[in-house]
Amino acid sequence: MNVLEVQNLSLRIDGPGGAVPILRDVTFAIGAGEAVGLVGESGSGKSMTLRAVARLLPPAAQTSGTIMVNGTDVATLGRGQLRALRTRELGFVFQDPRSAVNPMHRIGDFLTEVVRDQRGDLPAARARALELLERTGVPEPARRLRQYPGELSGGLLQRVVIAAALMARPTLLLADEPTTALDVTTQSDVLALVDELRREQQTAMVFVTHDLDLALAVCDRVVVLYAGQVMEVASSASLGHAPLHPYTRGLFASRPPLERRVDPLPAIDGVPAGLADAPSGCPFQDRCAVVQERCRAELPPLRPVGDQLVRCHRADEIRDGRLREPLPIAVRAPAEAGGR
Amino acid sequence: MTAAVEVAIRRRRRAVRLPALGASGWVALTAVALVVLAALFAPLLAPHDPDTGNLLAAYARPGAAHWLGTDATGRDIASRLIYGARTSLLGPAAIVALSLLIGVPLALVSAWRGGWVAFVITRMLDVLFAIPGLLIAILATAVFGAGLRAAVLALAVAYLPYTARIIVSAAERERRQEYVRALTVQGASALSISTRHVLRNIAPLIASQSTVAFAYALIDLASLSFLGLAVQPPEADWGVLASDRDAVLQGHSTQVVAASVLVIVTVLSLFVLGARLAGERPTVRGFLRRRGAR
Amino acid sequence: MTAAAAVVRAEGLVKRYHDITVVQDVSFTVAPGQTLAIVGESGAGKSTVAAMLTGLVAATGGTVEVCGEDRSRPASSARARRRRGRQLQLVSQDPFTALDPRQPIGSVIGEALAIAGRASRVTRPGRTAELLDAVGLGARHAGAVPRALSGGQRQRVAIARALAAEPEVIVLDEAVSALDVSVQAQVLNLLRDLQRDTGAAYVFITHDLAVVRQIAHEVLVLEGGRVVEHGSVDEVLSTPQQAYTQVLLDSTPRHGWKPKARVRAVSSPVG
Repeated sequence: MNVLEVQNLSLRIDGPGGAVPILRDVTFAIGAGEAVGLVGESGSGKSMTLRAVARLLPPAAQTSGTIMVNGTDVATLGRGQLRALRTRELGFVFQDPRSAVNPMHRIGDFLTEVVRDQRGDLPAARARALELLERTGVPEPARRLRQYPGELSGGLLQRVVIAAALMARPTLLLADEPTTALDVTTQSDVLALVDELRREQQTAMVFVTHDLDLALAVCDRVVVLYAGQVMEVASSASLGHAPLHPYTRGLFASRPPLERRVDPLPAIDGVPAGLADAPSGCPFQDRCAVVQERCRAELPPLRPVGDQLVRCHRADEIRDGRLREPLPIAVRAPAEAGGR
Repeated sequence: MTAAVEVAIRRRRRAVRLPALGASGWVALTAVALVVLAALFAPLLAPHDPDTGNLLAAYARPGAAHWLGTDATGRDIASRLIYGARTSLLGPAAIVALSLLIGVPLALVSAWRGGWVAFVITRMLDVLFAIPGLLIAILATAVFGAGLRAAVLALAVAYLPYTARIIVSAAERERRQEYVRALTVQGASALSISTRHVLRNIAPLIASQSTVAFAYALIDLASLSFLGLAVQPPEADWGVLASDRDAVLQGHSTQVVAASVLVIVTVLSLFVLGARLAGERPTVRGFLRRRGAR
Repeated sequence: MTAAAAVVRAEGLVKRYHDITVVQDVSFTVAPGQTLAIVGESGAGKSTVAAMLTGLVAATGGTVEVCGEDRSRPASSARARRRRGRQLQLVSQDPFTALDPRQPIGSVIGEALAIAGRASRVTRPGRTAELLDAVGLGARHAGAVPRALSGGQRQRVAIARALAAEPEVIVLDEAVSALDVSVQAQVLNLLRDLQRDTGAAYVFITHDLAVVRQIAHEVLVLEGGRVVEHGSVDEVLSTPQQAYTQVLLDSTPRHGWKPKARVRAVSSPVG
């Protein structure tokens, strides 16, 4: 049984000017212990997808489609069951640790909050908290338990938040840009440690990020979102080696490589849009280097090409290398020359 | 919600320019508009001359000739109430205008310079905070004699710290914005940044704050007139009209009731309107809290 | 390049807040038309250095010279302020607060031109259109208000505003960090083109080494307020001399990269 199954998730938010579409037909699944990245830019809907899984959407939101966590449809859960789901099966890590932690409570109390609420075994919980702090790289963990959040730096506090998320041994970790606000050295450290912990506890993870390279490094599979729709789903190995969708390839090419300068940097024309502003047909049509008439007329279906899922009419041509138009570089192995 | 989603929703909202007034907001706006119209077009609306009385028709009951009856000297109550809107609105307007005229520059200077300048200004305002407004007004009338001018000046001074405090915190917040820093680097002067940018961005806040201040000024001025310290009879001011104890003792309470109702309705409408303009929901607690804080 | 030709010269910069030293003995020069990148992590002091260049923060010690003029003291007169604006401009990180939310774009540029005295009232509209065009925004955006624009578009406006003063130096403080990846590429290309066309020097503050490689000629690595390494981009990024620089390089996500846990001693502070 999959830890998470999202089927045809569509989302609208009611506003004063009418309903604003945010997501359309988002579908993906996560198996036990698997890490899946949701990658996208502004308007992609990646954060909203994450919130939909935990039913953390604003009251004006309307969803359709199903979200199953460990076989249970989250839409059918009552308040008590939803709370149980969030405390026992889900773990949350959001971008800003300071808004996730009550500054008035000590770290130790924060970590053992759920156990205390349920009048569970407190000494065992404290021991586990200590262990998790150590495993997430917090120095002097015993001292930290007594400290207040204000005494910790952002990077340290985020490690605490991650430890808290893993306290209840959740089956699924929901992480929304968890390391974006951290220094790169801290980011590398934290992600490596979380990976270790995850594998041990067989915790699955949804990792939302704008950084494609980061997603490939941390996740087993990656879902690329654009304008509220899934554009490509592939294993990290496949995606890193041969991305098929023009948008994914464009994203790779847009990142300046660390090893050399590229002049000019191949940039995707235009601006990332949300679903509300997307044209009919393929949402990427106005920015695509290989757009055809068919793309404007018909929204491509998400279909298997090789062992990937791609939403592009020309995916087969791209895979076979039959396209005559120059595409942004796909594979950026260090030895390869850059440019188109 | 993510930033992108908020932008998408906000773009849809652009068609609607006014902040959502809500049902209560529209009712309040109508009430205030009616009062203002009465003040502006009093000569056209009032059925009789407010100052001439017919002693033979003294204390007449409400009827066709005199909608709300007449007072002790036969003057038409309805006409006096309509004309009363003028002084009842003029005084508070002057109070608000004066407190803004002094308060806004003071607040901008304090927010901009910071340091000891802000310290001194804040302490001065704290002193004013500590003295109840009505007390200042009573003192002023004791020194300068009863009358509208003294009362207006005294209340303007009393309202200064309230106006200034809100503007200072808003201005300080604007000042920390990145665009102010960019303008500074460009070489724009503090004056131009304060007036062209900061002031324009906090103008909505000042507008809603002033509306509420107007409401309170109305009550305070009416109270002073009621006590005989501000507007003096035979001026037809609502506060004065509400203080006609003799009429009540003789069983003719129409004038007092009508005048009081007008004050209450106008003040509440202004409060509701001010809250709505600030984007808040007007609540009883909010109203009482602001009264209590004074 | 002689010291006299340098468009920015910083020597022994120090910034102290009470008993905390945020910047300690930082020195560098920037040649005309070149880009110096200042990299470091949070708390390294790079934004403080930028603030000392723009004059928003006064240095506790050391000197800063821009276009030969000493900037250690705040500007004494309106004329001095404007002159400094013509020498050095700032583009900062957050596109959402960098512009007055109520001011139409055309007015933003026009005001910048007026303050810097670079265009008369007559020539201002034409010059505004030119500048908007140069940053890839059409004339139709002139009436738009920042609220109606995307983050990338706002950042372009901020760049156009900086260019309006025709400065010798532009300080870009994490100017592309808040942008989407695809938009960041566009803006990096734009900055390179503008540097070629106008000859402006850039001081580029960033934490992203890949961006440094893309846009900078020289790089200064800061850690804890001190200069750890300084040299040309090719030297420092390809053959770093210092362990800290190597750690930064190793932590930068790129194709084929995997996160690595830091080797730590039992009680070493980790952030």
